[in-house]
Amino acid sequence: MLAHLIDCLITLLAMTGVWMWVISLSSIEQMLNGLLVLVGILIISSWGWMFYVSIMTSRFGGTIGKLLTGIEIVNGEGKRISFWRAFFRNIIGYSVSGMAFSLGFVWILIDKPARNAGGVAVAGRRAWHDMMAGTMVVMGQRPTSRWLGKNGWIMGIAGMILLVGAIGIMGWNIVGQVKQNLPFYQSIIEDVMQAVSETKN
Amino acid sequence: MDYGKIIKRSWGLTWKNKWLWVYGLVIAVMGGGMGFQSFRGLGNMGNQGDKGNNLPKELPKETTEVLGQATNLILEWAKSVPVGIWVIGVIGLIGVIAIAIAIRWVLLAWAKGGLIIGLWMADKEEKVTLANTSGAGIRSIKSLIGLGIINFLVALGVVMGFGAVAGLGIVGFSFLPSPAKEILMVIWGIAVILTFVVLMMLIGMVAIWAERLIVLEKYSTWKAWEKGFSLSWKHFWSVIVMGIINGTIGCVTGCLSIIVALIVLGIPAAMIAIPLFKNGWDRICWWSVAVLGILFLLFLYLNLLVRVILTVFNYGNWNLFYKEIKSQIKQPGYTNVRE
Repeated sequence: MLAHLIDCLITLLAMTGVWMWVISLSSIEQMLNGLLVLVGILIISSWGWMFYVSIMTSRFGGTIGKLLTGIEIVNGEGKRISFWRAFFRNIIGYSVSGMAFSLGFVWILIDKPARNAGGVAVAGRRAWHDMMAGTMVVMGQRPTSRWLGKNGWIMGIAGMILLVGAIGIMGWNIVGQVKQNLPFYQSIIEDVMQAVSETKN
Repeated sequence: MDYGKIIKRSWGLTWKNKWLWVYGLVIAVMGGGMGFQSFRGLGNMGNQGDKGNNLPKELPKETTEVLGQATNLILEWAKSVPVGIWVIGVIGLIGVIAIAIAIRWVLLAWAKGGLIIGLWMADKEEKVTLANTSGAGIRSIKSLIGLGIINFLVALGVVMGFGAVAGLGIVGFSFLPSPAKEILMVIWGIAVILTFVVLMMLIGMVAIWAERLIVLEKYSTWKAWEKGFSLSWKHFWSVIVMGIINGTIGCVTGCLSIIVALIVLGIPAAMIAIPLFKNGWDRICWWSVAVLGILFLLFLYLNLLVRVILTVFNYGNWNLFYKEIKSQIKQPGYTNVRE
């Protein structure tokens, strides 16, 4: 969950930057240009996100959030999954997990960890997308991952604090920019109201 | 054919194996199934609510003029943007929409495959989970999408063919004198419509058989369609009866669930909403609006739950029907009037 939160915060950070730029524009033509760029970014990022998560998961075992917290996504034999299985897990699987109040994600809290014959937990709890794709989330096996596996939660929380702080600062700037541009937005509303009253007269 | 036994068994399987509701959820949300299986959509008739367009037919003059000024501004801006940017943007948007449609097809195919195999395993008293049924769903994705495309093309061909035939008939009869013209047109129209409806139902039935042949018997797409067509033709009336039963159960359950939900949730909502109107909109009580919103969401999700359960039950009925027909075919001395 920490890994997922970090990934969401990274996305939010990027979007906040774009919104900051759009809000800072101070003429109608600039705003229309800004909205066009925003739509373009949304189209490109929707393509990019699908391939980013699939390539990262198949090549490195997970997205940045998972790497920061030292966990990996593997198949039932403990090996990295293919690109298409990663695509199925992250795109199709997440869609299913997200239906019905995101019950599929919350299922992590209900599912029992997989245990070997000796009763030792060998894999974490699974969400619906993991059950669908036949994958599981485990502590990484690389030396850095082993260290991260033990101490990754510290890095994860530190990363999250940094990201929340960055978003907070950017949000504060957005509010400031909106206040600065308030006369411009008010002038647009006044022009529209004036046009309506003139046509009524 | 013991339809009562099928329904009872299907209900038991639906209620006992709740993991299958995940597949039902996907199919219900994505609006899956076509042709005959959309009989269960009859149960949703009461759920559609008012989807009518409430916009006024004519906008006031002042609004038109203000909108006109804004439209001119936007048009001038649009002309100033290079054409290449618009072309790239449209291509990108089409690509995103195409991927979204492809993802919907994959989701639906996976859910159908998983649900069919899950119900089959449940009927054999095997343990059913999302993990042990998802693999079959994944393996069936390509074939089920292919089946959907074939069915769509056949249905399109039938629609276009009958459109042409109906048009030719109308044109041909228009040269005849009255009242022969009118009488022949009516007879022609009825014959064309009836034949069209029967063919479309046949196409729907083919989908039902073919899906099970693909998932359970590992048929290839085209072979499943051919065999499905043959089975639909041979057992036409049995399938009609099963479809009517499914449709009736779906319709009655859907309508009843709407009525119950309206009573249980609608009365409290009305008790909260009516005072808002009496007090006027300038005295909105925000907690009332929040409670109304929660009641509305609750209504939507309870409705969805009923549809999910109905979807699984529907598929269970068809699975058990398929099993029954299969066992009849394997019996020695099996004959069918159409053979």
